[in-house]
Amino acid sequence: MVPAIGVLRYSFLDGDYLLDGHGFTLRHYLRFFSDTYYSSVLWDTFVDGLVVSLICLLIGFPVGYSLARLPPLARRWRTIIVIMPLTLSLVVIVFGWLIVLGRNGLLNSVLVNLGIISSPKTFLFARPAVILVLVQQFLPFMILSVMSVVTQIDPVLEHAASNLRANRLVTFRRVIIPLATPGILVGFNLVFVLSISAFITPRLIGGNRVPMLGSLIYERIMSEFNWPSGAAMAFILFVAGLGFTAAFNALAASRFVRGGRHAL
Amino acid sequence: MKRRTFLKLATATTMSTLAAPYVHAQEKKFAGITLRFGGWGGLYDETIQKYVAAPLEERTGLKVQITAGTQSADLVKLVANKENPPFDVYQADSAYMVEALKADLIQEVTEAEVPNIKRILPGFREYGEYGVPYSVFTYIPIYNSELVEQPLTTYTDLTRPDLEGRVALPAATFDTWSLYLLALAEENGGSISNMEPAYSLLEQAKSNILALAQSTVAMIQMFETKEASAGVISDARGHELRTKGHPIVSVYPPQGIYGATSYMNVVKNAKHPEAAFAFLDQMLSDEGMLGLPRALRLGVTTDVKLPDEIAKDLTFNTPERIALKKKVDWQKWMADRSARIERINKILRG
Amino acid sequence: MSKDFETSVRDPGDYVVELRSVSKLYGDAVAVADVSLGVGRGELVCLLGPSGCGKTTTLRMVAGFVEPTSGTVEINGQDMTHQPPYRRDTGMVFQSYALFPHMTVAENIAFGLENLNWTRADRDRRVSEMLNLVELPHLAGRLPSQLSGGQQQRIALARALAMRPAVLLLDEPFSNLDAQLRVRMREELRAVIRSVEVTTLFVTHDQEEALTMSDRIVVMNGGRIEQVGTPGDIYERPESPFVAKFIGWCSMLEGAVDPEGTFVSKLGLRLPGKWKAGPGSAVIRPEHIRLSPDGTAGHAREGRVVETHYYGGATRIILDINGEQLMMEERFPFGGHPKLGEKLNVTLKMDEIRVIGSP
Repeated sequence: MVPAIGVLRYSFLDGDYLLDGHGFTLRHYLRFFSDTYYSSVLWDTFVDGLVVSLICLLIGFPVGYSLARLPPLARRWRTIIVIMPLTLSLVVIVFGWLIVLGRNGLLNSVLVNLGIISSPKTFLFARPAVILVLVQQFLPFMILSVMSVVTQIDPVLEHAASNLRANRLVTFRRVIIPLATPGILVGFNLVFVLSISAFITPRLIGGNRVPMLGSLIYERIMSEFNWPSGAAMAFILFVAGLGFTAAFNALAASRFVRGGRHAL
Repeated sequence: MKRRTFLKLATATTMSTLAAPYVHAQEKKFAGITLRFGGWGGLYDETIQKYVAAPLEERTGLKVQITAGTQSADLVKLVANKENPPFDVYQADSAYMVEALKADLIQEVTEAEVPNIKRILPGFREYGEYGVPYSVFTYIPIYNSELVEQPLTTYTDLTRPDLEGRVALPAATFDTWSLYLLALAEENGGSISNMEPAYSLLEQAKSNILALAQSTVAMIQMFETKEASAGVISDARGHELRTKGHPIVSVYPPQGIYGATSYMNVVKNAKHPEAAFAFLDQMLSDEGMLGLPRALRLGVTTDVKLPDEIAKDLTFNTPERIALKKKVDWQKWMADRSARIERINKILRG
Repeated sequence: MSKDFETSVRDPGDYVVELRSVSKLYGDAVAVADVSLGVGRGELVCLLGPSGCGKTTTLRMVAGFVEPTSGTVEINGQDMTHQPPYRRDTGMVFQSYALFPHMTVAENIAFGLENLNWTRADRDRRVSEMLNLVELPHLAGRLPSQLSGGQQQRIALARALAMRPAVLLLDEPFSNLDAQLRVRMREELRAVIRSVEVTTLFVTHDQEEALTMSDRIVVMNGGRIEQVGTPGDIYERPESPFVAKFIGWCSMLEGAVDPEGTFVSKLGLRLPGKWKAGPGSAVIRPEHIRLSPDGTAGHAREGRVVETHYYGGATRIILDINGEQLMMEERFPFGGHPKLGEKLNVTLKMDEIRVIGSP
């Protein structure tokens, strides 16, 4: 909280170089809001965040669910495998992907050998590549969130649903999803917030061709040394991210957790 | 002035000659002193260690501590610790010299303090008595001759339609590396005050851009993996790619070559300014000056005699080539950087 | 043993649930071995046995949560052996009730009906009908977490019965309730089951529950059926020492029946009767022994008091008769308890004592 207040204070400094500024000004905010470029990057950042979160959910839910239904010992070492990528330095991960996705990389040679494409294609420095790497980075958070909440769901409820003539799909939709919603929301929010604030991946994998607000903020602070302006952008991202997740959670809660207010 | 300098020099020489046996018997001039040098990492630092620091220590007992960093990060450290700077010698290129001067971080260095300054070629001290230029580098177009059929001859050729999706350019945050933008402007009727021709050309050829590299390593990698077939890179790095066996051709555009100079500076409030002067002097000596050309094929800034096998790989190896070196209004270039970065970001997104 | 039942009760046309030679193996471990069983229409059959006897696995094979290793499971004459639970016409009350915590009581009850594609109106009618049946119509809008244990159990029953299943399955339904509530709920549950005349298969380890609720009891041990019969059969005519010991209290004497039909225990206690000759075990229940103060009536014996346990309504006494220790129960009002070592005159009801022949 204290750094957040510090950022808020800097963002009103009337200066463009480090913390040389003084006084109070709104011009860093005006610069952001008077230029559609920034709001469109903010929009893109959010769309990317949503796409990454959704893909993580689609992959992470089945994985987290099946992990949760394993016996504790088998779950333990599989969980370690899930967590392992988080211990790798991001730089290592990113350079690994640069090699995999490159023109001479694994993906191209597989596709060419399978005859799906005739000559190597450029996969790097484009939005799908950035999203792919972000998904890989943040998937463990989704898996762990889903796993922790599913372990709390008594498996006998699935038997009960099945006994009450619900097939697997109905059981999933009407019993598991509503009960797993807290974990899904935690995972979704985590991945979303991590994605919208990512800056290394968009810079390196996106090669500046995929602007996300995090990398613009990084540039403004670390390359232009315009800390007040960077602080203003960071604060806008913070508030917008907060507002978005709050709205999303309220929507999800009203949609999936019927009667949740009585229960909690 | 000249006479006084001469007398001083003569006195110093005589003194040291006379005192030499005594000094050797007792202790060396900078024994026990450690000079802190802001390095740029890797082979660059190793070369300076080998050709500048090591011989100096041998002669004077001065220890040089090289800390790898970047000119921007080191600048922030110096701004934050003006009274007690973390370095005695700070390196900056022509662009960052503007920042260092603006932040009042460095002191003047004269020929009296660093005698070898007299050997610096005319035109290389861009900031008066500030900064000792020790190396020159250029950012020129390169291309992979296996991937590009029609040779490039100018910076503008990077926007040719046949290079769609294959041109690697530096991120706009690299100030000197971004001089290709000035080249695009000047090759097409613009100037540093009228960059529009460069921007509109880039806008049209946006689909040519593979990526804006965030580091030299990333740029080199794009050529090694053949991800990029053309781009802008420093002359030294182009040479490095060739020595690794890549079919990289360096282009020397006839309308002018854009580059910058690397400077060493004595930091204000430096702990050991005398040692820093000695270090700079060694850098400008024949021994020190030839290190970087040998190791990295970087250009020289003094009248040192270059061996032919090195000279053939350098950009500025003939009077004709040297004549192509463009002057840059660094103050203006740096004043416009924020707007330039924003503009490039917008062009790439739009 | 199961042969008796097969020949005596079997009437293939009227079984709602029928298991034929069903076995379940987990690796090398045998959970259920060759179980054959039929549950008749409207019948309340109880699977009784100690934990690990295979009774729950058997129930789960009927529900479809466990697939048999061999044998077949039929419900209403249709082979359901390999059908998933949701295709089987069963309604189950789980040990933990398994109410959906995120749904109200009414939503829980309606859940099965929705899956059976009942119309909204039919569902609503049926839900209130079921709530009235279990006498909890005022709880329709509550969440399970707001209900007491007994209320949860009744809702679980209402939810299972709402679908009008061919068979109601109950898995230890009273084990989560305290002792007093358990007795009350047992009576209520039985009344509800009787009123809707649903065929019921019920699992318990509590013999009292089994005896009071069932039409027929299936005693299981080690994955096998030990005996099938009415509560009276099981209690009065146990066919194996296991059944005798598991159902009610008893003293069991090892020995043999001589050619005259008299049972002689290993320690020499003689019980005159008309049993079949051969080695066997005599099952003597506490109520087979009565005080006989004058020492005259019937087969009087003298016994020495070895232990006494006061249970309020009665005192349980271990008597030493001819070196054999036998358990009896008697009421000694106003504290007139026999002391340890005291001699008591008792009679044994020989015609009620059963001798199980050794195989």
